[in-house]
Amino acid sequence: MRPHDRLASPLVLALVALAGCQVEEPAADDTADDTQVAGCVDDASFFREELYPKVVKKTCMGCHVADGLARDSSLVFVSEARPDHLSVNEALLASIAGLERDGTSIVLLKPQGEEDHGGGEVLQAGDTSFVLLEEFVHRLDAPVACESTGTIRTGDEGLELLSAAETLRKASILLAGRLPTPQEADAVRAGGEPALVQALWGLMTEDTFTDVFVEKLNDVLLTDRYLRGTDGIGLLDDDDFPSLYWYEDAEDYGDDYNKLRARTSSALAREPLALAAHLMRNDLPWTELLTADYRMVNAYSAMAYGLPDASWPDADDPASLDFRPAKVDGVPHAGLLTTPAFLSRYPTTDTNRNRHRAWFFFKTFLATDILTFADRPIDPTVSNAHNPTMNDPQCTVCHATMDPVAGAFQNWETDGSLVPVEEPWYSDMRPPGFGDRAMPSTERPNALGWLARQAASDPRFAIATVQTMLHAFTGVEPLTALTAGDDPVKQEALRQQDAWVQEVAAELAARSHDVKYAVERVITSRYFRAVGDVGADPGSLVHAGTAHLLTPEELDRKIVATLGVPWRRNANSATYLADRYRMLYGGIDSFSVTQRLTDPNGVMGAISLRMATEMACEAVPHDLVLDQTQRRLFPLVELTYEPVTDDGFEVPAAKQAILANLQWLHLRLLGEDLELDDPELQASWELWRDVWQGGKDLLADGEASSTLDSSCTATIDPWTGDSLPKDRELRSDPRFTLRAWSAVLAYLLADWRFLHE
Amino acid sequence: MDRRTFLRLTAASGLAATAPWPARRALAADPYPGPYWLFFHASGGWDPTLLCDPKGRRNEQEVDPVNTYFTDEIEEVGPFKVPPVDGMRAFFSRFRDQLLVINGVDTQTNSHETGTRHTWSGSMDPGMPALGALLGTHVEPRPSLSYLAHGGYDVTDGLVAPTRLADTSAILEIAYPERLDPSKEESTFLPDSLMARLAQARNDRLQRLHDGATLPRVARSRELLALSRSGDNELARLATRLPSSLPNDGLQRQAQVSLACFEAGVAVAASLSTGGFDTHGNHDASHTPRLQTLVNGITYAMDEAERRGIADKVIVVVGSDFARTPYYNDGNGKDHWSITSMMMMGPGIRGGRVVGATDERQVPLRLDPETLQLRDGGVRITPADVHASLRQLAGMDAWDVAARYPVGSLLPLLG
Repeated sequence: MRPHDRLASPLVLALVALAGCQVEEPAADDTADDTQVAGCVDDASFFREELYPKVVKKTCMGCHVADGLARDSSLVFVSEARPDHLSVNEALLASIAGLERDGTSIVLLKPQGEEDHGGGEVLQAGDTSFVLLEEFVHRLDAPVACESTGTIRTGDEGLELLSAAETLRKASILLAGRLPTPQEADAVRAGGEPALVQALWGLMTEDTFTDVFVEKLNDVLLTDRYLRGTDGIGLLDDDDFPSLYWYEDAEDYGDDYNKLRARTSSALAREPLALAAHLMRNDLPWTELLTADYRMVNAYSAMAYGLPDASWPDADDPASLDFRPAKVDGVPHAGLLTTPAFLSRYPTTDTNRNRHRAWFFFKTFLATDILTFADRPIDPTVSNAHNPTMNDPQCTVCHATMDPVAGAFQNWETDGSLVPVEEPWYSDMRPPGFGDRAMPSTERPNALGWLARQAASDPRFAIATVQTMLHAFTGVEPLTALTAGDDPVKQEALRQQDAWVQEVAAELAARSHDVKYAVERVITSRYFRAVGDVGADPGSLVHAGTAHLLTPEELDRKIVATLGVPWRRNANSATYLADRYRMLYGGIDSFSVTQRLTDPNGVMGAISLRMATEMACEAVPHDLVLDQTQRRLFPLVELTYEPVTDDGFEVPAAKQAILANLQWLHLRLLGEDLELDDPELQASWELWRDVWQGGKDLLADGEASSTLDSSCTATIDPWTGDSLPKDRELRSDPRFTLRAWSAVLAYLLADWRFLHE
Repeated sequence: MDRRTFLRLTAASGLAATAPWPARRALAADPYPGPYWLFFHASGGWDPTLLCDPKGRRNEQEVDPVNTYFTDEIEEVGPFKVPPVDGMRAFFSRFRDQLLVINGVDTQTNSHETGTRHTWSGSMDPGMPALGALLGTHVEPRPSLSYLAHGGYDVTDGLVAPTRLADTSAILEIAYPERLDPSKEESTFLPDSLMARLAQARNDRLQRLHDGATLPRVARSRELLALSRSGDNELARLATRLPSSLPNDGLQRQAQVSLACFEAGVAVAASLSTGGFDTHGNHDASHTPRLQTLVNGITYAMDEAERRGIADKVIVVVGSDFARTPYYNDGNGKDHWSITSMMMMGPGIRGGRVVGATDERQVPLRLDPETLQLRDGGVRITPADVHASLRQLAGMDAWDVAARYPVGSLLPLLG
């Protein structure tokens, strides 16, 4: 077929016309490259946008699904719950379409009621749907590939994105809990996107990023549930690990029993996340999260496991807390899947038979929520099937996928202990396997290892990784075919998101599953960077927007990064957002509360106001007692700077300095780079001026005191709790300038831009 | 983009703006007067045959019985059949005139997630908001803690920010964010007149940011922040209603906090949850205490509502993911069964009735959709249908936001 013949196809012309595209005249020269022709519809797009929604989903999937009437046929489409359902279903239909009778594809004959089609006649020749089906078959003989001409919308068009330097600021705060250094900012301003990417990889080498990464992953795994008290110790059975309570001899070694016990507990609880951190830090394949043939221990858990090379740790040596890979004799490791914390967090029972574990496995590592296979109504009251999970289609729709994977968990009890390999698996349940692959019996001793390898080589693993990182660093739950429903705007958003995820996932796999690459792509995407609409299509806007309400942990880090002092009662206490207000501000405990709140409620609104009050009260005097060159907040002013003298004379230099410092604060706290005449800067100036003037009036009238409230003085080092030298104390505010600055700081700290990124 | 297009897109993308900005700004000057909704979720899938739809077994020889107790042990309390489970007789006696029991409710699923969603949103579709979220959005002016999400199904689809309030000890200090010492009225960060200037500056700034937003997600986020701060004195009002100590029982604690919020007029609806119902093993011994915790929690809530003088404004709805099989498995447990029950009471609900029925094997019997009498070829009640009635009770059956989330058929369930 000549290239222009394809475009001459009436259907394609119709599609192009429907899409409102301009069609170029076919080239007169046969050698012309049709892929350059505007309006080209490639095969995947044709299936996704035409055949699937209009024919396959609407007509075929009424029966040709796992629980449908045609479930026993050779054409059973996979559920939309699979992230790769389009490509899988396209390949499936293509394979069936290759079967012909008298030169006509079976997929054209069956819907016309021929070839013993169980559903009889569902389409007629000449129907729009039938024409689409014909086009699909036609394309199998004459595939259409389109070279990108820039006409396919990626979703970025019409969106205003953060600049490279602005993206660096946001990324530095979220990934590393700090502001960019001037050198970093300059480099990115000068070097643009390549310099941004380089800077991001630099941020990802920092210790704080490891903390952030682990924090994000725990939102998925929830294994920090065992960080409470000494719950980590309870993950192991001392029958299996006789040296579990090794620390009971602590006093003999002059050590603190409670400290050793707590560190042992934490190490056991943190094992899955330590593996994740190890892989990320060392640029190891993320697939090892499942396939690693080792576990992560530190000096304390090595003792609990009784590892041969374990020795009594030096509790004063910070290195004793460092994790390292290790193998435990007799344990068939399979990454985090065989860690006691994971197995206990996702327990099983005699009747559940690891199905909960299988559900979590699919959902987390393969981006497939099996339970959504069953969102269509079922009616078990009419089931007469013996062993319904094997034989009733209402049940097998989930169980056929879930149970083989459940079987692969057979070696592990709820408490993470090993089941003797001699014990048989249930005979009234599907045997262990993955998809259409049965697990060879020789793999039984490390069934999870076998399962992990299957999953790691499945394209869905990389998709799940990208989706996890997208959610983690934007706070937005990825769309699925099910959540998008039939809403055309969401459908378009899903199309764009899927195209992006698939592309990043493919590249991630090609880069040996280096998870930092997925993070880089999220950070440089519009999902992280969009700030405005300048003509985007509606589908692009569904997930666009940097409107992520900071989590308690993120806000905690941002406070320190920008103000230089933490929000806490005193130097010996935990920060408010890590402790007292963590749950109220939408945090999780990984146990009873496992979903973060992403919108501020009335309590959270009040907490942010209290934070602004207390931090303005504390940070202003503490910054002002520093030498001007060391100040984070007030490098350009002194408390003596007043715009007008007591005699009523204006002091332009003082006002300019105040404006310049307001400009500095807007940039530092909110990331707003404002000109001096910007209305927002003027609004801040007017607030400063009104509070200062109003305060002066109150001082003059004796209705306010020049002595600061004790909680708003600088008398103690906020980090150490030590008293400041008397000559550096700040206890009074006779000009009311300190409180004017405090008011401005309280204004900025309660701002939407401070609380969101 | 014009405002109309913007709103349409916002709605279409699930980022539901439900009222123009200015209307939201003038919120909550007065306490919300009720009605107040309490949703009790029995998490894991309860067994109605041990609660409000008892079956029993005829004799020792019966093969594969639904229950281990005998049919002649089932009591009648008013219109209700009551199983021989400790505490049930007292519960149904207490609420014999108020309680509506709906039996034979078909959740159409054995999946926890889908069943919970169906029971509390009225749909099996992913992303559907809980009825509590709709209620918390529907009220205008909207109190800033309008939807309390203690547990269970609390999906909001962006309609409203849910509030978790397990720890109330910090309420006093955050109720007065402008005070340096929360317990001292005079201990303000700035003198009152200057605080007012600061508050005005903050509001003006947020308004400007909102007006300048061109992305729906950003605009909505700024709107929610404004809304979260709109309830001046609401937390202070709540602080005066909170007891000095809360019950140890988790469900009762959730109820206590919710009712304090109701009395203070700062909340509209609350989702409460108690777990442990997924008894695949050792069913009777494990399940019965959970049901007792549930009915004790409901009773406690109504006692507390009476003590606070708001009992006549409280609507209680009780449900679960689905039910348990009408037979025991090899481990004396019961697995998932899609035919369940729901219970409810409160103003607008005619109590002292049982609607719907199941046969001796807990298969639902069909009903005439107009009379609700048993009728072959009639309909099965689904949670979606129950929600159609609850929405009508809440006065939101003609509300365009609710219409975006379709539920079932309107049957005369509530009387």
